[in-house]
Amino acid sequence: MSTPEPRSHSFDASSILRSTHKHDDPVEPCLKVENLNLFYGKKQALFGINMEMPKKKVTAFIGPSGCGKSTLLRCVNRMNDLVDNVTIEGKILLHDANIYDKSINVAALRRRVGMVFQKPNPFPKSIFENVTYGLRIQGINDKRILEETVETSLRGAALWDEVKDRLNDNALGLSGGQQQRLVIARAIAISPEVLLLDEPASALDPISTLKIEELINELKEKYTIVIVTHNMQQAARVSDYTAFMYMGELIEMGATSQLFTKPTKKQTEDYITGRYG
Amino acid sequence: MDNFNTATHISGRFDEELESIHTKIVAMGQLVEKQLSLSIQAFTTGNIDLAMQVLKQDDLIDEYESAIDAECVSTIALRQPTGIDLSLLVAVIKATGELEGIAAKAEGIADITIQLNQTKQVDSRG
Amino acid sequence: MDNSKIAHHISENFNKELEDIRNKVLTMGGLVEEQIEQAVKALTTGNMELAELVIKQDNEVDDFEMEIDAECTQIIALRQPAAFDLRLLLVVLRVINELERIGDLAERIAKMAIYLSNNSEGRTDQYHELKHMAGLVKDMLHSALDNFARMSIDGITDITRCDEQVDREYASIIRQLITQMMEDPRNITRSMDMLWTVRALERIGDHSRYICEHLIYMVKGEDVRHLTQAELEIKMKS
Repeated sequence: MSTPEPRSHSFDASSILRSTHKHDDPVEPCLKVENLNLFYGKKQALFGINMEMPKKKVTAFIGPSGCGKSTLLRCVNRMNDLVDNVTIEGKILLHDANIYDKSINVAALRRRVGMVFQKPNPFPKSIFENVTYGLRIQGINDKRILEETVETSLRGAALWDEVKDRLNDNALGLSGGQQQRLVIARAIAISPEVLLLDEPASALDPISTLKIEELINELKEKYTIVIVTHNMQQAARVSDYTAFMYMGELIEMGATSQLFTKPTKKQTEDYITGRYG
Repeated sequence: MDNFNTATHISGRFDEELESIHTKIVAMGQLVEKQLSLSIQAFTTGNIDLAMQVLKQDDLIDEYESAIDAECVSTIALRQPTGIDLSLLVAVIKATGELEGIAAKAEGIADITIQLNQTKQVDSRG
Repeated sequence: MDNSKIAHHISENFNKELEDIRNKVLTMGGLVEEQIEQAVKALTTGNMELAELVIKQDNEVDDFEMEIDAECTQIIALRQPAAFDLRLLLVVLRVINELERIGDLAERIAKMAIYLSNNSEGRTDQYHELKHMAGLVKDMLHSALDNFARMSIDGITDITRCDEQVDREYASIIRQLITQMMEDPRNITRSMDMLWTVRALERIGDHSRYICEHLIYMVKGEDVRHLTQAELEIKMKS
């Protein structure tokens, strides 16, 4: 009886088993929130929040309406300073410097921490002027620098190919999805470190939403991203880490793949599986 | 290969994950094939060393099964695939179970080989 | 029945769909339990009608598997479940696969019963050795399904521990059979038939154990396949 020779297998089975995706790399924190409390007048809205947001990763905040996720996001570039009657205790560290320290220049902070809102808000100006707006405020008027920035920012926001032939058209003529990507291009034109996205796709159609989500995945190569979304599935799709908040408290934070398959807290489980509390 | 349709989704991460699952299930398949042919060779030639070699790979196959299943579950939970993508992931989960079953049979053959030939050795001595 | 694990979704339809799936799995499980019972009875009493019934029931079991399988996939696609809900649906897919295998094994025993009754010269009370083992594996499956019904894993290691006993009995029956074959070559045919049947029962024990492992994954989210009984017990205590 002749036995067939086993086929030669030159592959290394155990190294293939351990190969993982890019997003499993080790992480270092970019932002740290320490014992953060926030009050609107006497009413407390955030309760002792402690968390770390890793560098060049996407962190998503999820939770029911009024859970404090947008309030927390707005703390990260001190947007809440603009609201009357707000008191904030605790610290938010951006690379170990407390952004609530007296020595911090808020305008400079907001250049390092850009923000994109739910409704696209381009200025009623040309596409070119929208992207260069932040640079001009900083006094940069060199035409060559401006043109280069427009191209890299629009490419970075995955919009260049769609608008390169009409940079002088009014931005309000773009579709909702394009406007939102334009706003992202405007945000990245001033080279921030952190991008805060507050429900960036909730006003968009499904395909535009997918494009924004894919863009987020590309942007994290360069920026640390924090996104607030009421769409849990979106958090699942785009984020590396997810924080679940409820009634002003951080209930659970962890790797997105773990939080969505095996959350440790019952409240998280109930929320992501669509149950009553 | 075509079933995996990678590089065709808007979401690049989804493609990456499918690619990783694809690579692993192919590797697991090759490993199981090898286990089966080695065990049959061990049995037909009465080669205990070869049979031991088959038994040694057992853990690796179990790890493959767990790792691939975990990646599939995570991808289903995070990407919420539908249609062919979902069917594919569910099919992969089923296939890992079958492959593990085949590997277990190969180990069974290796076990029998060892028992049989150890008895023979004892018999010939006694 | 405790519905807390599958009820309470905001979507009433989702609750209904999960409830429906659970009921179908339990019906399918009941059918498979019956198959084991009847197949063993057919074998020990030589009742051929019973054996034929078991073989017919196998089609029903296969239909259940395909129907539940399709429903699960559909729910995953439409409801996009996460966490426990997703694990539940994936575990249902695995559990019905185990049940289908057990059904096949029961069918194999039934076919053996028919084959043997054609060759048994009218003996109606035989193969006692395997009755006890059959009782053990039937209890294992029943308890596993009971845990599935309650979506609980309390005392699950008692069930998996039972598989060790099944394996010990399997080994001891095999030893007996080999002894009998060596004592008198005329026993060989009967012993070999017996061996296939005992082997099928042992496999049923394995599949019942696998169901328990799937349930642990469903409840705890931990992959406990391929652990020894001792490792499993330590893990469940942690």
